[in-house]
Amino acid sequence: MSINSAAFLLFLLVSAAAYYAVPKRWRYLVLLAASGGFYLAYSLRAACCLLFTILFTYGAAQLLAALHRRERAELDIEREDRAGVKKRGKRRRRLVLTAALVLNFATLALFKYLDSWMGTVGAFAGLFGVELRFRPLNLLLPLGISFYVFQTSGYLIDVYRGRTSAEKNLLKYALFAAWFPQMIQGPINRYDKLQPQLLAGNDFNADNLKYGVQLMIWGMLKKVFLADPLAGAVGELYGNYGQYPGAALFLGAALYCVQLYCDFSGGTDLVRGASQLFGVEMAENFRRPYFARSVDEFWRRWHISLGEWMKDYLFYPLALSGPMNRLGKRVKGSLGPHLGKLTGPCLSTLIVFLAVGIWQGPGFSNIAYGLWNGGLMSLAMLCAPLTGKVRERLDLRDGKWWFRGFQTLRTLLLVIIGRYFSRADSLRQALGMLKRTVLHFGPAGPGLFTSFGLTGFDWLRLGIAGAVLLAVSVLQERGTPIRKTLERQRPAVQFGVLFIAVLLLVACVYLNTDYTAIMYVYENV
Amino acid sequence: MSSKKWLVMFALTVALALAVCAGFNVLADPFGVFGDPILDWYGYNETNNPRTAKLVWLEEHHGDFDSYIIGSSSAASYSVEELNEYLDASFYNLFVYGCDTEDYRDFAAYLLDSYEVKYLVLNLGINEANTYDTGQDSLNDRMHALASGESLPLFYLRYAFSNPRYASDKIAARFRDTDLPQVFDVFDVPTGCYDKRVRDVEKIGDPAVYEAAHGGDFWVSPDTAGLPYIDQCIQSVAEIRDMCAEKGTELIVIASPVYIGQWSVYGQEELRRYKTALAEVVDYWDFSLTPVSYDSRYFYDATHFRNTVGSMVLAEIFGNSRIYRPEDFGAYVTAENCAAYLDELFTYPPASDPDSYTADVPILLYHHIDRDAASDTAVTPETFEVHIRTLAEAGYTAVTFQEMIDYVHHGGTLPAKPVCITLDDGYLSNYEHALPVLEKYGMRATVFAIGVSVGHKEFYKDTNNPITPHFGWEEAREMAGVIDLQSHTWDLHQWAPFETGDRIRTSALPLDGESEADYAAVLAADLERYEAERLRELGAGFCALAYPGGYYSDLTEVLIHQAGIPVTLSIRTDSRNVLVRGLPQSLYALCRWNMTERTGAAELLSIVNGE
Amino acid sequence: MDKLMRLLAESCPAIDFAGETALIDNGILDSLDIVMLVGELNDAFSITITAEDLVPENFNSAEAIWALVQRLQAE
Repeated sequence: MSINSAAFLLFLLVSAAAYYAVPKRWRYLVLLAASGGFYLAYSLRAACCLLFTILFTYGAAQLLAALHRRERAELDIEREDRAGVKKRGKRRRRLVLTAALVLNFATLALFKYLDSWMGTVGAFAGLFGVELRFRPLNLLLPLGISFYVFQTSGYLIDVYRGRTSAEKNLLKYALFAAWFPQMIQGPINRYDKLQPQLLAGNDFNADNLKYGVQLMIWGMLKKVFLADPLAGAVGELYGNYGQYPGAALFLGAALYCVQLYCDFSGGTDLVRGASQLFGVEMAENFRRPYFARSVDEFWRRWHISLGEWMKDYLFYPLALSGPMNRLGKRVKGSLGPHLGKLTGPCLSTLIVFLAVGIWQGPGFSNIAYGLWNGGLMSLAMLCAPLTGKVRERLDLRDGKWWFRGFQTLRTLLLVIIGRYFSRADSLRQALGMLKRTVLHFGPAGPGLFTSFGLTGFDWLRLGIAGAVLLAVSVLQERGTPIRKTLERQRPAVQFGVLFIAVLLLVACVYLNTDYTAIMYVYENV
Repeated sequence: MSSKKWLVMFALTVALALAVCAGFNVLADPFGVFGDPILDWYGYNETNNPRTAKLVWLEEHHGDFDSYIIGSSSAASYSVEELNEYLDASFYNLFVYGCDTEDYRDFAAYLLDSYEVKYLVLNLGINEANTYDTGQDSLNDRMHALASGESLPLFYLRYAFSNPRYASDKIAARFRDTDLPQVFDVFDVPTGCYDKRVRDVEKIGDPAVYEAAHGGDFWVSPDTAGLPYIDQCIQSVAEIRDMCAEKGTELIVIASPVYIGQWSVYGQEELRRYKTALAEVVDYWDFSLTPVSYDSRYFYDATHFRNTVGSMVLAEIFGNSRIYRPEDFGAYVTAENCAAYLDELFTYPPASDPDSYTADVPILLYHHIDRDAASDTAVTPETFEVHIRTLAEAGYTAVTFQEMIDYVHHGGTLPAKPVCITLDDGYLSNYEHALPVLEKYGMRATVFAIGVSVGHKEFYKDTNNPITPHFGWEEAREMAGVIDLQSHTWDLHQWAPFETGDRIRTSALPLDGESEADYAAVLAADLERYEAERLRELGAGFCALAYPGGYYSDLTEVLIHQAGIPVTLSIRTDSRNVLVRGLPQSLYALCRWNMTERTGAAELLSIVNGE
Repeated sequence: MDKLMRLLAESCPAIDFAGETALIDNGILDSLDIVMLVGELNDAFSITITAEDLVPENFNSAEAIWALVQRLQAE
């Protein structure tokens, strides 16, 4: 079920109607049924994988909860060695958590990474004259596995930490893990934010419906009118990069920035809108990332739910861990307090972004992408005193618009360079493209823009769509409430805007329906 | 605006947007479902989906017809004009591409229930027993609900909400349309047949050239399925028979000509079973395996026989002896004679030697015959005589275009070593020098004279510009019997330096930017003028036209042959002129070898021998 | 508490800890600030703040931080 198909829209409509039709305490079951139906329509095998994850994470959470109860019971009796009880309890819980997390991420690795990594191992062995062949498993990647594995893992850690209590009702828990909008394109939701909304049996609220519909339209338009038309051109430039001058490749990476943003954020808007139809607000995932003034800020605006997850469940534990502390102290002793203080954060940042890279895909280019970002951020941390002094000397304060512009452009440039890695199929391809960009930049005339599959008309369409997106983004960045502003307009204006949007929406759906050009109906004349 | 109001507005806009789409689809009507109210372009609609568009078109025009052809795309090759003549009826060809016997039954039921039907011609190939009830899901091959029994409102909804790109494609195509068939407009609406005007001017003859151009079209993939649907097919035919009997409609069943490549894919047993089962429910004409089957030139591709073969089939059924067909072509099969007929068919399958129905006729091209042959296009009388003597001594017999036409169209004969001698433009020297030589050796020739310059012995047309003298009608009459006069166009071979005005025609091609209609009118007027003048002066019209400069286009060929001129000639030399009986295209754009003063006897012989 | 305020002022001089009650929720303290701050707090009060303690409720205001320090010291 493609998300811009008429079938999906109909599915949403029917599900929402059913949701508000049944009594409140049954409503979560409608959500569960819809999620189950959606996932089964995708693939029965994938549904089995999902069910497996749900069952064992459910079990692990129950076990963790039981251990918490046991510790409390022991504490009630034990008066002397309370610290010892706590320590033993923690050790037991840690064991359970570790086992559950290993299993959870192992399923992800099995589907997403195993084939690729085995290939790499084989290739490495080949370098040393050892012939190792692995038959690729070619498993169908279950829809949303990257999202639900992270989401359930976050839940387990929360239960382990005692931040949240374990859900006893398996059906309710299954809904949290399998809530269908997040399966399509994230975000990675947090249990404490999402679960109450899923179970509440939300009242019918016209605002929710309206905002949901608006968000869906907006997301769909971004996807269909910007992301999809760019996909072919970007694929061409990355796929046959040897045939294009460096300028075109740079343009390709920049277009990929647009494509990826529109595809990912458009998809997120769409599923958040779909979720809102049921009164369930999911985590925000994008806040106009390309306006960021530093790489660090970029990552607080791009795929926010992943960044937050990484911060809470990987960065803090790493940065505050005993070994990291000891390492910091040792560096402090030999290289001075500044470096000593930053050792932990920098190293943790690098590891976190290594993980972010791997999250995106199995190849070395993804690892390079992660290290590029982590490296840039670590560098910024290390150089902070120096850049601070420079700025003070030059009197560059945040208030100066041109300085802010410079920062944004600089960040954009760094992000675009990163995109060479995140889209390339291999590290070699990414490096090859970078090399061409630097060494063979020209010739770069106006003909460049139409040399890789986009016609002048395509550019016009993309330009209009891009201008609308940019204008809306700028307004949002300035804090203008777009919806409120629209609502204040005369009804005729509101109607006009809506009508254009709906016409485009209908076009979106039609673009996704079967169509045979008459040229191919009967070819012999 | 409150959120509730907004939602109402949203629902309204969605409804409005859908209404706009539906309105657009209904008005542009790319599948001819809604009567095509604005464009009225059924050639397009039928190409998109003949199952819908033809039925809707018939709703309005059924009064013009009393008889119908039903079949798949191969039935497109039957001419309704010929059937009308043979049966004194008004036929509409309701064939549909990709059709199977279940569809035939639906069509027959619909026709018989809705209209008065005098004759129903049902064409059956082998495919009909190979596929049955294939899915009709796509908009392009869904049967009209009127004939399928599907719910009408659902049917209309489906087309009203079809992808608007179909409708916009149609509008875009409208701007690219020409008078000739296009990929998006392949039907001849008034007859229901395919518009094969362009397809049927393809020059065909030389087997090597045909193989190079179409070899791939005749590759048939092995079909492991065989003929699994014989019973269903026969059952549907029986139903059609009964419906016809009930309504008093005469049913004519034809088993259509099959290319040997397709025939060979199936086992003898299953073919026998199919044909026997068919004979048990209905008498039919069987043309499936005939001498024609063995020559791919009689077919468009592995599964479609040519229009000309369709004419042979009808001529055989209705006993028209003027139209050529091979001996042993087809049989009327009944339950009684079926076993014996099939025994013979499978024991002695008809085959024929290409030499028995093809002839290679080299055509030589001369122009002026002059004492001092200064140019490439002139030869001296002496050389001309050497050439003619060489041909005569080598045993060649000169033939005229009328003889070639008789051979191709009516099954006439040609001498063992035919050659055709032609002289272009109509110079007086032809009369002075060629005539005596030809008479001396008992040879004949054809002069392609430019009509407007006949009789101009001094000046170009009405000017004072001197030209090489051209003979007049007087000389033409005198030469008749030895030298035949054919057309080099009336006035489409103008000599630009001597012309005034801005629309100078040096060839039969359209002028730059000339509209199809204007061009067609000019060409038609030119042909008519020549025909009329020749009729007045020599008592008969012309049958062959040599293109000035050898230039022509598909459109030129279409217009010329449509006007009833069976022979056209180019000046190309890239294929042999292999005349094929029953294949009019073997007389199209014939090749001619230019003879010059330097052409020696040996070279001449190698040209005519085809070495 | 005074010791804490001094420490806060030293490590993040640009931030007004006295008046702010949503240091995390409003994004005033970023993750790097927090990690640095935790290091200082650990050293200054001889406590061990772990990742589990790093929730917004514990860091949104100076009072909250002080409460956390006291709780950990008590354990």
